[in-house]
Amino acid sequence: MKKSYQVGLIASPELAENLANKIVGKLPTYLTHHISDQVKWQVEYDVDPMTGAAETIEELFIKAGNLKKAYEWDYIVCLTDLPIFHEKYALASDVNKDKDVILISLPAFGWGSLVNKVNRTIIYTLNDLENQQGHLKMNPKSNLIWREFPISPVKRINVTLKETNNNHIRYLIYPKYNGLFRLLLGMTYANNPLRMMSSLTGVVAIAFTTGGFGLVFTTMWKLSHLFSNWRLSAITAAAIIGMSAWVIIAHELWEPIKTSTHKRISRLYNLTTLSTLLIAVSVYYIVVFILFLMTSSILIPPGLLGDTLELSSAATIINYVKIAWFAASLSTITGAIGVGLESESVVRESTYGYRQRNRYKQVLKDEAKKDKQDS
Amino acid sequence: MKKKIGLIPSPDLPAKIINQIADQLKISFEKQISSQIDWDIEVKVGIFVGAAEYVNETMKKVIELKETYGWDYAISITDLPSFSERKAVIADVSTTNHVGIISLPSFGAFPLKKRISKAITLITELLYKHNEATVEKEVMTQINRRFSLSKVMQVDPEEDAETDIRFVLNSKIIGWLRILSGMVFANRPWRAIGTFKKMLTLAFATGIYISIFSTPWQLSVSYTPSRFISLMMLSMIGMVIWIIFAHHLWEKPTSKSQSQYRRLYNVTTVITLFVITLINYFLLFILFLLSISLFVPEGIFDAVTNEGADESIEDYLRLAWLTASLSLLVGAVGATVEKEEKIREVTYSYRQKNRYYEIEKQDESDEDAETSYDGVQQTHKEQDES
Repeated sequence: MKKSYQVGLIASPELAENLANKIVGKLPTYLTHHISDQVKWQVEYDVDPMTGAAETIEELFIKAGNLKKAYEWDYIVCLTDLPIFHEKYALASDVNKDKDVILISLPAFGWGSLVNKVNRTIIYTLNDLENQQGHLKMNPKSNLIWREFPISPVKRINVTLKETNNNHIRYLIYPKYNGLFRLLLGMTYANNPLRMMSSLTGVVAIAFTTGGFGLVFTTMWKLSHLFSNWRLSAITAAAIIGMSAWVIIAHELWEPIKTSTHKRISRLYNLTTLSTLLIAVSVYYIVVFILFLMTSSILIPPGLLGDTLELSSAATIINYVKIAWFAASLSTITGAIGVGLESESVVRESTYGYRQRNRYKQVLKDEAKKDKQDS
Repeated sequence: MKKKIGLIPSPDLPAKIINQIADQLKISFEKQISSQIDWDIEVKVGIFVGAAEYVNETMKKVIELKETYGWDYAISITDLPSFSERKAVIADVSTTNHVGIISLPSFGAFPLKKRISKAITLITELLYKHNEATVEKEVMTQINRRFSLSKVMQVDPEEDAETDIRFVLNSKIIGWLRILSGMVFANRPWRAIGTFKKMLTLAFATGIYISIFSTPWQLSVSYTPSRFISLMMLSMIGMVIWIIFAHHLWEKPTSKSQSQYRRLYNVTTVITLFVITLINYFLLFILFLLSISLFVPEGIFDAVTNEGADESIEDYLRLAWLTASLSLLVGAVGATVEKEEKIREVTYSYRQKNRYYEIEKQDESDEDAETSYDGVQQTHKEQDES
């Protein structure tokens, strides 16, 4: 029996890379604790753009198999930030029983910190793999993976892929819509909307100036007083959606679906871009609103505001909130839309399609380099 | 007998001051130290980075320069702040090597030429007569006469350095305030005002436009003084934050700088920008006062605001004050200056970086020069005062 086992982590750049960085230190202890303390576990990791660029999983498996041989690893765990489907169901993890390759698709884990979730999934799937092959004496089977999918348990199925004739265990999320929703959340999280927000700071200044100008005049005060909450909400929605739409159009963030080979994936990318933008713009909107609330409460004396609105007494905080609310929407529509964002690259890097293409280019470049060296 | 003295000011403000006082120094030396000697004073502008963080290295460079030029004594006058155990350092002196470093910011805002020339003279005296037992005490009493707000102390530096005498300000708070105001002064905020032309015109146009509507009139009449001041503060703070953000003037933590100095640089930048904004604000206020008295007829103003006709000057002052705040807030925020270089030059971090590049360039030709020096925190032991 072998005394030590090598586990290799292969991560796609950025999100998965950071994650691998965090778990690589903890994993050996977990493995000793949960799977077997009879052997020594060694964990290494490497970053490979291929893991985040592959068009199909089959490509990934071939690549992973090569890496496994090159590094002389016993097991290989691929962490990818790409969404993967198995017959319309979102796939959380795929275990290749014949090649000892585990694939984990991070978006399937939804929103939030991934460290513990992924740690447990790795242990669970590795345990599963070991159970099948009978290399090691197992600790009692735990149900770690179920804990990660509280709303709907994952389903474990066995498949044999026709192309390679390999046996796989796949963990799928049921029902379909739950899986789709999870993927959307996970991918939006991977896009990092707050980072995109940082490129909107220049827009905040322009919007503030425009709205601040409006605050000086009574028309704005009166309109915001007359408007019902419904109308104000509708204007807010129009402002946020308009702004998101403008960013998408101006920076060409929409993937054309008609020409795409994987229509479902392209559609999912677009949906993710939209939800990322909606979150970023909403945060921007809240910032602008707070700025206006501060400015209006200093700029407009309550007495004068009460007189202008023909209230029986001085104006209350509600009047100021409504003014700031209206000003935030109006300034977004009239001031912010059309303003160039700080850095084009930050915006584009916050979308799946763009990162994908970039990585693919990187892979091609690397291969070309290799070919040159070989010949 | 002839003695050669080299003065090495850093570029910008110190160089300007030293060039102006170099001639008087000779007379001062003759009077204070010795009239038997023919004092020969030479001025060479030198670029040193961070006298504070790299005091040891600066000292070495000064010694090097002294030898190259064949000077008997060398004194460097830098615009960089220097702290030792949180106390402001006025000067570092190495009597064995015959060199001294004066940190100009510790002289406070509006450093008087007389005071600087006195400091240089006294340090030269210390270097010249360092064998005489009484000289240190004598110099101390003379220095203390010049720094009236806080006592100057002489301390022994503890870190491994060439310096053997260090003068610090005894009060930490006064020392800090002095250095801060001295640094803001060294930034020469008035030089950057010209770069705000675009922002000023934008603010002016916006303000004039605002001031012809009746709502601002009503606002100005109903404001209490505290509201006027809050609005002014809001507009100035907004402006400063915007300039810092738009031109990336905030120094972020790097491995190269000690956090103490980085914080000081950032505080200095904020204060400098406040000074600039305040000057701009005042200019706008004057401009609005003039134009409003032309644009806004008294009769209509009184009719719209239901004010008595007797306080027209106060009304105009109020309206100009309001308009100045508003114009800055809604006109200038969002605009950028044309020459980013100019605005960056009034910050320490930027000038520092520039000088650092200069040094790197020089060092590249100098093969055996060491560029990897991390900077040592300065410490000292305080003597019993007697």
